[in-house]
Amino acid sequence: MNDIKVQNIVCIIASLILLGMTIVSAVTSSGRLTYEIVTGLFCALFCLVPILLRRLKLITLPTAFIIMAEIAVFLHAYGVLLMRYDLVPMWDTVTHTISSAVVAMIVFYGVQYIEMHDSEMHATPKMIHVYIFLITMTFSVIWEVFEIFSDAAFGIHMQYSPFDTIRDFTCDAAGAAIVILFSHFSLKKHDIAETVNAMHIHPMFERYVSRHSGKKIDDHSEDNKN
Amino acid sequence: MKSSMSEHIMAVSIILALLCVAAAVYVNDLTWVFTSIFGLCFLLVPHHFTKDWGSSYCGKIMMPLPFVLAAFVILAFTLGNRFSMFADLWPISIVLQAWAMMIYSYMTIIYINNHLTTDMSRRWMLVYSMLIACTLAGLYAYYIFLFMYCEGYPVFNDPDHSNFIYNWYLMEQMTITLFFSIFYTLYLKFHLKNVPRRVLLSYTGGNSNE
Repeated sequence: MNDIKVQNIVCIIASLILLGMTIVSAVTSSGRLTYEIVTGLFCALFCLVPILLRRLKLITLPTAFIIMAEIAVFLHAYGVLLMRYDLVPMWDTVTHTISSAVVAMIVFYGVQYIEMHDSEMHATPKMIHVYIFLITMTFSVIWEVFEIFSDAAFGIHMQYSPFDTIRDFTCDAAGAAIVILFSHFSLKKHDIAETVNAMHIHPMFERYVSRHSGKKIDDHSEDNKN
Repeated sequence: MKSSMSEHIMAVSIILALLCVAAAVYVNDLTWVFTSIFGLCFLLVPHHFTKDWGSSYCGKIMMPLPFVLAAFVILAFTLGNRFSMFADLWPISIVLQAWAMMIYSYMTIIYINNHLTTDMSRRWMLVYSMLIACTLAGLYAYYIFLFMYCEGYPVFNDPDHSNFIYNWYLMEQMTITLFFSIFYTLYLKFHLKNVPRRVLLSYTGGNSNE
């Protein structure tokens, strides 16, 4: 129960602060671009998504993940609303790293979920670390490819320079490394079943995973593997 | 596939991987050196665990490898500069490298399944092979960036002109590898469909794997 209270407090406070900053930004800068206001409002609402997901009984996100995600959203909105992206060196580097850590955490919890519900998949903690790195870096490659194609197709500048691309990769690798370190201690303290059960994931997801692994929900046979 | 053929494919692949290193140095594309070293480590795994030089991976996995490596060696030595980085025929080199990387990645997954207390289904083996190939292509971007910097290409932000062509030089390898690896993963899904998982994981021609 304490965890739920902590989650609620973190989400609501982040949302209220961003809402306040958006209002202040709109009032003090009368010529403020719509983009900043919309970003502020969207991020303020996005901070409440974990509460909504829990209320809809879809998933109870882990507290560590919520804190990391709230920090990522908050820093991004803060950077947009108060021009920190322009004024503070390396602000985008920090936000990019934290965002990639959020993605890596999604991978971490996703791998644990699949490990528990897919009878064809068994991994040691060390292999889970490897999976986190592989999946995060592949997402990074896919995103950069998307950027270069967008630049070619629409004449925009999502990619500024090779140095920026390499910096993005490094941020993504750093985010993955942070989560690998976190997962090392997390897996020592909590076993996979404990973590996955605490998420109270809606049964339709389990049925989906089980159906695609050829495993019946109540059947732990290994015959399906071949 | 008969085990003697697999042994020959293995032997030829090892020799060609070494020749790939020489060809890579000749065309000044060190990504092939890294790929070949990575591949050699896993080509030698069956011998390492079975102590039998005749051991090999499943032939259906190994079969394209000698042709891919031979194609690179021949084209590199005949085309020379046209096959080096950023040249007009470099995409062909990248496709061949992506193909080799996918095969080496699959060997990596076999090693992981056999020796690292990890279990994957056939589907996950394919997915993680693709992930390894894409990750390696992403990591090669660091080498390509260093190469561009040393060669004097403009790699930093320049508001006066577009960096698109130089961004593309950096991205070309991972873009082609990403699409080719997706295509080859889908191909392997059907190509290996009727091969039992225990055969995919076994080292043929020598002692059985653990």
